[in-house]
Amino acid sequence: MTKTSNPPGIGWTKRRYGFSEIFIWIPRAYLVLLVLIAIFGTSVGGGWNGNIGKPYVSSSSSHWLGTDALGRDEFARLAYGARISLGIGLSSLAICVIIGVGLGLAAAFGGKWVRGIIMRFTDVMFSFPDVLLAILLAGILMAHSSSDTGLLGQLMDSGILPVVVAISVTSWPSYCRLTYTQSLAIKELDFVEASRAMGAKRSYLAFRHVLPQIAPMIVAVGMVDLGGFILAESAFSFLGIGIMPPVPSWGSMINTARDAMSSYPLWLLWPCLFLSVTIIALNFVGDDIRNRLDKRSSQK
Amino acid sequence: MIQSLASGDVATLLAGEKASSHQIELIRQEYGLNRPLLVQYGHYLWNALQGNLGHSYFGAQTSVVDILKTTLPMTMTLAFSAIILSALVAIPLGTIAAIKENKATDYAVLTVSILAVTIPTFVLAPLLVYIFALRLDYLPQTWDNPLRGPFIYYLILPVSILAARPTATLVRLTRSSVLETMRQEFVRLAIAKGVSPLNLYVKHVLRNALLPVVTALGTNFGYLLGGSFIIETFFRLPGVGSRTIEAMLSRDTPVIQGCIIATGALFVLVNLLVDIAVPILDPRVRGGAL
Repeated sequence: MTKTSNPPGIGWTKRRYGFSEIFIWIPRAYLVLLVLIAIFGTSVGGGWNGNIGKPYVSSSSSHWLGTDALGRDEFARLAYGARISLGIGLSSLAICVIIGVGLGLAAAFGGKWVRGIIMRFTDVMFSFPDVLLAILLAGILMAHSSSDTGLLGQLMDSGILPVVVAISVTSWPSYCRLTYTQSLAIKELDFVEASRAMGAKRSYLAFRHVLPQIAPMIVAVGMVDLGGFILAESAFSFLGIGIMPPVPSWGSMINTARDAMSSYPLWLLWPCLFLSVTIIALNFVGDDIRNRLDKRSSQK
Repeated sequence: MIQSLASGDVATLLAGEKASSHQIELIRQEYGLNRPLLVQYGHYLWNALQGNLGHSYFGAQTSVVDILKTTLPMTMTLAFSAIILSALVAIPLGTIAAIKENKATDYAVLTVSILAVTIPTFVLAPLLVYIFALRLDYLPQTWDNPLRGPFIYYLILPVSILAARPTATLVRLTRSSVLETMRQEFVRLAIAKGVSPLNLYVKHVLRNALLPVVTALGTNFGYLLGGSFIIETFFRLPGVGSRTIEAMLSRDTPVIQGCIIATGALFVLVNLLVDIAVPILDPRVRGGAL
């Protein structure tokens, strides 16, 4: 690390526009595009679960990326896969943040017993390799056709709910620990002390003073984790214990395309490309947010 | 125990679709599924302590211990070769990157390692298989039964793909650790005393810098075990991972339990080994100073 610090007196780093800027804007543009595809792209060429036609038709104006092994439109299925991935990633993230941050704040502001129970439980969760635990959970909760035909039943049958549960259960502890350690530090700062001296309740301190301070950090970690969650969902689907057919997922698309790899390599390429580019983009965006946070905190 | 809670009604599954409720009840009694959960769990634990992990519900009803005997060596070979490979690649690369800090070599190593971290295992796998197995036809695409070549021939692709991610994290760790060590006084002293560069890096710097790397080997092993599920499934290798997935798909509870216990035990064992190795490597830890 070379130290190129600012001249004293200047508080805000001048933003450098140049080559490095590309690495900030391309990932963002890609993510916006992906969201648009996920929302609007699923009905292209007959829809993701459209009529079964000729298999492995190459790309044309009616089927942008051709058709899959059962003759369904490849692009629409990729788009639906994006919807599944983003949906599962975001909902797991939301659950992790709510549980993790909630428990972390409770541990930081609660009494000795509350802290002891929450933090020891987090330690237990940390001691087991999370990939293994997630695979185990996903495999056990794996969709079995329930008689429920409502929304819950659908989420269960398609495998969405089991995947979200498996990811959330294994991933919240890191948010809990992060919130806890950060809150302890912020709790001792003067302005929180002052507020406490003026008679503020602990819940007020937690939500009005501490939470806004740690929120940006949670967002930065969350962006990178989102990539991890999308990867986990694809891994489960690849193994056959995640999203159930006919609902497409990038992971299961990779798995099916693998069988025809020698004759139709392109069909393997598309889901792989979507998956890896999405994860790389999320990593870049997360790193960018974290860098800015670091800059801001070092300037304080 | 989680399994017993969530695996659905096994008895109904075993009896088949046409079974009467009486038949289901008989099966339930035979397998002891009608007893309270805690009793089942206690019974399982007692048997497990005696080396009996039950037997598979399906097929030839092979005992779980026998299944593990055939599958565990494969997974262990895979995981241990991967961890050794990644250490062998990562430590020299990380050191070189640290020596050439902020030069082209450094950036090249870092960029490749970032790519290796972000590209998912099952994207890297088809890519490499396509290049080396299908296009160039150097290596086999999946496991053959019986084998058509030497054993190691089948392991090259799976092991290197499995090792990619741990290698990348270890490279970065080695690099930062070496950089940190090189800033310390005793290194400057060694340089002042005229130690040759090779001696300096191997004896003075690496010996001190490797401690966090060894610890990370243990934690990375957990990732390797998870990754072996995907790799074994992809290459159709007969290991614990692919067997577990198979058991999950058919709801073969005793097999799932046995496999998970085995992988968990393996993880604990490796971390125990790391805990034993660290004080041997670093006297500072022995004295309790760190």
